Amino acid sequence: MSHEVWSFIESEEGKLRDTAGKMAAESCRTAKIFDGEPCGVIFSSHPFKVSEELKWYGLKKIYFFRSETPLSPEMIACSLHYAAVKLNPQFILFANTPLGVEIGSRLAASLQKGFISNCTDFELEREKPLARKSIYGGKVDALITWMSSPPYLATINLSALENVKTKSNTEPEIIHNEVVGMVSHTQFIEKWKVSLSKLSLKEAKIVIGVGKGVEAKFMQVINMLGELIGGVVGGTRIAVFSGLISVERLIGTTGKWLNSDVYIAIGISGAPQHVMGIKETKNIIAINISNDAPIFKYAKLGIVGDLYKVVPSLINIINETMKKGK
Amino acid sequence: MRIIVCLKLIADPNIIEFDILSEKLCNIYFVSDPINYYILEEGLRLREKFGGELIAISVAPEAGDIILKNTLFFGANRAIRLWDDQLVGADTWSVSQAIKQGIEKIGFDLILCGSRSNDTGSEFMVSALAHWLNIPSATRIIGLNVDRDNKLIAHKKLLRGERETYCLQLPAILGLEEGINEPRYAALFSKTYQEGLRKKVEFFKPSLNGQNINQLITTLRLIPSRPRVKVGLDISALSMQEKLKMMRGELGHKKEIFEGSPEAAAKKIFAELSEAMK
Repeated sequence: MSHEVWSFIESEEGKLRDTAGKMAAESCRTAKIFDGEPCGVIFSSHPFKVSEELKWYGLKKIYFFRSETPLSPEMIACSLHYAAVKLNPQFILFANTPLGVEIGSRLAASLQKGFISNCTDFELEREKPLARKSIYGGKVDALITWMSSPPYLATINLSALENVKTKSNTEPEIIHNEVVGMVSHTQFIEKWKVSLSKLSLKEAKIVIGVGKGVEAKFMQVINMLGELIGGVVGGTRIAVFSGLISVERLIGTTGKWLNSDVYIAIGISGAPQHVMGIKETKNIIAINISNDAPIFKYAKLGIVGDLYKVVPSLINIINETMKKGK
Repeated sequence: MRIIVCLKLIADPNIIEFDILSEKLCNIYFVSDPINYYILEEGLRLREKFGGELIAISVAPEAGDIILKNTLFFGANRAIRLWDDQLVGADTWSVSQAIKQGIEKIGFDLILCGSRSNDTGSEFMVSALAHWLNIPSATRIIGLNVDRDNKLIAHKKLLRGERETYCLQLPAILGLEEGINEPRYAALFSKTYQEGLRKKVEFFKPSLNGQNINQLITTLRLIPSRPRVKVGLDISALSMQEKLKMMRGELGHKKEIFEGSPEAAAKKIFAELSEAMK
């Protein structure tokens, strides 16, 4: 058995997706825990050059599968099956994205191996690998182990992934492989995006929250900011009561619980009921006029200032940079 | 069209609690998974449109009869409970084998499942069943139509508001997402309710032997949840205060409170935003 740790790196139209670097880092992290060799697996139907970016994660090998026809989860799982039987890696890891989970479960079904989804961490206990998984909505963690022989299959929670780069760059060895054909039963039609006005707060990448400090006249400016940065406008219960936003846009214990990358709190003091809904957010930017507002305790960047001046100047700066970009 | 809906009995995640001293779960009350109502509603809508029958199945001990009886009140034609005493504490693999046997015995045109349950949520079932039954599959479905040639048009929910549309030929298996439709109420003493009262939940014992009850993963123990340890961080070297911070997920977070002119403040916000806006 080789001690390779494979991580599935997602690509789209010849470009790496944003989970790619994180998964490469994850492979190295897991390899360190279990004393293995970090490797990446890439499937692409486009000509692909391993970019400068992937060299900064310490991968030793990259298994590259090139296909002439468009790829489907069935095809990827089938090719991974043959590769895993031949090379017998210790781990095969996926990000917990729709594609990653589907391939992982199909591979587990065909290999008859244990599959643990949505792991947050791996541990080594009495020379047995353990996976930590959060269950019952995060109330408790379960330590799960694989009873089957390697490869151990797992998907990793997206919020647990981190983009850690190594100090020096390494040139990974690239091993070319063939995709083993298996016709997909599902026919792909199109890919589209939900418009910003219909997008749910839970799915949004950037969310703007408004509170008591914002006047109804000013909502026009806030909506303009939302359109510029591709953010959805939500808010506190007071904002709902004063008619600034609709009920579906309520953030907090009784409203939506966010999962966004950035949250901009404008004129919100930070009542506990509201903060409950934003604790999963990675970056919180708060604008408030009073410097002892509780929201600053949770914010990564807190701006003490008048929102009626800060927001328009932010819009100006974004507009200027967009013009320069064009 | 014969539609099978797969339902799950779960311990209510809202009131379940973890007792740190005994390292066990307490306040366990079994309820129907909220996603079950969406699955059932979608099944009922498809049956109204195309006719045929709707069969609800669930792998559960006797307590599961409640949720299956409930589906009969809503208008399901049959409800079948699958159980074998060997399935106590079984992993997803063994359960999926039991479901596979049940489905193969009943026969189907369309199988509707939830994409993930609200307790452990492994998302394994749909793709695994599709692999074994060799039928088209799609998970995380947020919209579903059927066109004239009996082909399914399914909208898949991806991350960050992206959607993908697929076309599937029957027979097929789908994993549905919460919010695909608006579940109905079964009115007391309505016609479907009266009919449901007369029906009984059937029972089917899958024949499980050593080969398909293979335990592939097992839960060793439960522990209090904590965020994951950052790369290169040595927990044993941390002080108590830092450990508490880590438990709350506050360790290593840089904070900045800025007081200054609006223009300078706006520049700072823009620097933070520019990465997310890409």
